[in-house]
Amino acid sequence: MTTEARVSIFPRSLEADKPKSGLKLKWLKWIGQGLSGLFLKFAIIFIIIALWEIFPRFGFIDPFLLPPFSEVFYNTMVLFKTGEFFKHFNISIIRISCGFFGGLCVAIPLGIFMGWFKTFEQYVNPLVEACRNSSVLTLYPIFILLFGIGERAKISIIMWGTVWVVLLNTISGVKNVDPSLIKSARSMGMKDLSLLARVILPAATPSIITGVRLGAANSILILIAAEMIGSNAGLGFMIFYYEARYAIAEMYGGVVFLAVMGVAVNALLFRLERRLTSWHEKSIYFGT
Amino acid sequence: MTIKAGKKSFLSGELVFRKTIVIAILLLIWQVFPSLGVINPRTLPPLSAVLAKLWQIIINGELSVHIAISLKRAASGFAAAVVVAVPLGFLMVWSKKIHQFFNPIVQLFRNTSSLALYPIVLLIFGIGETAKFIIIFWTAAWPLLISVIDGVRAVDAIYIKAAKSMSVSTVALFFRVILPSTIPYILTGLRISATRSMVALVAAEMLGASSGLGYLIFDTQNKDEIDKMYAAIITLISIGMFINLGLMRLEKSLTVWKRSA
Repeated sequence: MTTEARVSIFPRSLEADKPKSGLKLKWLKWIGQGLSGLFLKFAIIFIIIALWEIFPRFGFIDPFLLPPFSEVFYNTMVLFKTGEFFKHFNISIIRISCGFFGGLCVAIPLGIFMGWFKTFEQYVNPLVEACRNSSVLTLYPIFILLFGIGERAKISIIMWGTVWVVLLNTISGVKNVDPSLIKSARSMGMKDLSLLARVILPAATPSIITGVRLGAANSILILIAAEMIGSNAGLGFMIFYYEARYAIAEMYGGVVFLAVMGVAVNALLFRLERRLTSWHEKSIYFGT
Repeated sequence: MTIKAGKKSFLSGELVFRKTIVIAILLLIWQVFPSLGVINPRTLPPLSAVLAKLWQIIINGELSVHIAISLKRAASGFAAAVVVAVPLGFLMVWSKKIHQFFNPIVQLFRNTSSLALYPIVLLIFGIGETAKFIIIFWTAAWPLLISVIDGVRAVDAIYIKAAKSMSVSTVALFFRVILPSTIPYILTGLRISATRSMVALVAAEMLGASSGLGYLIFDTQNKDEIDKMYAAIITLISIGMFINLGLMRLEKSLTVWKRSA
């Protein structure tokens, strides 16, 4: 009885009595648990990499069609070192950021404007829907015809692929703001401009971000397509170039890099979404 | 709008006007500007010339050959994706453990642009119908899989608990509760898949094909037959829109229970 009482009243002092090595062991245990947790979480990735290494090595898969993972990794590192990779990477990044951010700069203000002036939106909406529903790559020849095979055609087709999704999501975000929010802001004497900045924009943010995420996915797809079709540099070109020269390991390296890039962009935008809409979550927990 | 409900016929007339006026003006510009020489008719032939060309290739049967091939490719890839991805999606959210196990790979592949994989597909299968089938299948499968997974995870836990408390069997739970509440998600996934597979189709036909609408567009551009190119583009866009419209209709008719509830 007495010992139990002591444990419950002075648990800290008892902890301190323990030898320090126990604490160290605890840390090691935590790290071990963290690592094994990480391993378990991404188990399937490790399994696939292991199979990728083993199958070509033992000849279950023709190593010409699928070189072992280590070889792909090594050859890709060589590309990193010689700087050849970054030559393509930089060009792709410039194209996609011009197209994507250019698209955002056009679509978000225009979307807010169109969501605000509903009559205007009603007139233009069918056109926006038509543009959004027409497959982007179909229009690429027209862009080439207008701008020639060059940076301008590529940047403008990426822009086209970004604009409509973001525009439609911005419009619906602004249009679907809870009217009671607007009314209560107005009843407190808010002016149009601050209403836009303080109420409508925050309320429309989740929808806008969804559009931005879709737009980002679209723009990567279009970037690669545009670089495959008429180009002499860029990641999309690089993959096809290595395939044509039978540098298969390098080709796989490029594909894996694009996959990782896609995941990273998506994760980044997901973070941004969480941060920009953190007020939203707070309002849910408020009062509970 | 609700106040004006009495003037519905007038309103719908006005609505039609509002919905068509901008597009009508654009079509008019397309006709007039190239004819007047404001826009170079070699870059943008007048609408009438494009429509005449379109009529000509419809009549001589050239267009239907390409349409048939493109549709066959798109439909086979898309159908295979539906058959594989929808059941697989349900299997993947069968239990939390399975979902967590497969989640990283799903996240990886959904974010990988399918066109980046096209060289690998070409390497393994060669330039042919198989490669095109695989790439369209792959492109269409992921959005579907994701939407099924999201749909099942979004099923209100109360429904499942209520059904279980009434001792409903697992099969009945699936068909009576989970499937109906997942259908809106599946249909959204179908529309995304359809759009993406059109993109993949065009890309595949542009990179190594000798038939199909995507090929026709790029071939005519190379041969400088610009009016034919525009005719092909119009065809492809209208097909895409019809598919989208059809799927939207399907969505509405299949989710009637949702609106009436």
